[in-house]
Amino acid sequence: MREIPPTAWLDRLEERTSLAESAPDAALDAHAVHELRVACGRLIVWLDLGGWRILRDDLRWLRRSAATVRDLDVVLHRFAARPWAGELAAQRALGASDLRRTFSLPRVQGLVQAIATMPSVSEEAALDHLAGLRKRTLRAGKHLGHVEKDLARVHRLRRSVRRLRYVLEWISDAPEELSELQTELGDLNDRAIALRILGDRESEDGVAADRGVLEKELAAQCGRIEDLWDDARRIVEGL
Amino acid sequence: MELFLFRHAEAEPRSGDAPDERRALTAKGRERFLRAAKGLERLEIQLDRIYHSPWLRSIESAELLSLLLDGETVVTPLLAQPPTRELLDILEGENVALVGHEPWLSDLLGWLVFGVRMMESDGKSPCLDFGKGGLAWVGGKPEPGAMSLRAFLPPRALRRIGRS
Repeated sequence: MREIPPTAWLDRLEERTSLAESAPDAALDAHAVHELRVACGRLIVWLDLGGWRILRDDLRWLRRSAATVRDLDVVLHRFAARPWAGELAAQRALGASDLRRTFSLPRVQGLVQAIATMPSVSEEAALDHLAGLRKRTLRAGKHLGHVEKDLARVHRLRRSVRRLRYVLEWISDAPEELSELQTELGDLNDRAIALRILGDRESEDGVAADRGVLEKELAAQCGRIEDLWDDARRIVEGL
Repeated sequence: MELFLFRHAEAEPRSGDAPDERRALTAKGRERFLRAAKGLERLEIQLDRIYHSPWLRSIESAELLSLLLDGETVVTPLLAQPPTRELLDILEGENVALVGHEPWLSDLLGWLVFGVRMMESDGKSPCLDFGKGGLAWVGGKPEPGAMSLRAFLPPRALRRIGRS
């Protein structure tokens, strides 16, 4: 049986966290922050495959440390030119500065060093894990109708699909239908985040209109997710 | 703070050019350390934080200890070097375990209890016999000289508690 080392995503984690505290803001752009969070998520799944309890808290902590910046990036990506976005951009700069300081903590260096010492996961263990996750994903997708009325259910499915995709990609590749669904679910989550942040600034000029557009897009997206899940479910059942 | 200092369990011997930090626990070391952890469980010790070094034998030992954990694990390279003020400053929680290596654990124990560094310049710690899988239990404020020694238990004692 093949062995699965953490190398691919550990290297990216190391690359992203090796940024100096004095590095310019541009060095920690939206892509870098997103990739850092993805690397943490994928390495958490890798630890799950190996049956490890340890180090998951460290990865979750690092992922959370980047959450504020990532959430602001989601809004700024689309609305940076709005008059009300200036304050969010300033918050983002502060958040990025905090994040660079976090990178210099011994805990981050220890995390990278620790994962590098760990033995590879066996493909057999990964396949065992896959069986349980397949069931969990199907359960999460059950009764998915009326998505827009039950976003909590969609978020459960989003987390399950993301985890399933990561497991499959540690083993080999994820089917296109699953990746497509996960991308759509991720976009939906981004819209939900943007709505939440805009909700705090409702009284400012133009914010209500932008919120209205986002709400309509979110509703349309819910329909697409139901269709995509129909296709992906058949794939998941066959895994 | 109740602080439990653990030395990692028995690990594979050093071999050739293999990096020291990648030495894994032996099957015997794993089994014995698990029994010792069960001994602590019988004493109704519950941990809210486990700090461990990034070396594999410490990671594996901390993993076994996590059966006592209702909280978070934290990796820190500060446990794979002589103890510093920075290590004491990061400690949080009420019932906290540190999983580390000799001679630095003995040095830390002496520093916390007596306020003096135990480690000699040659890196050896002559006063304490911190066996693999052994435990020192101290309580108080995690400051040099401010903690009291509650127990210093060889792994065998913990295993016996687990069996009884």
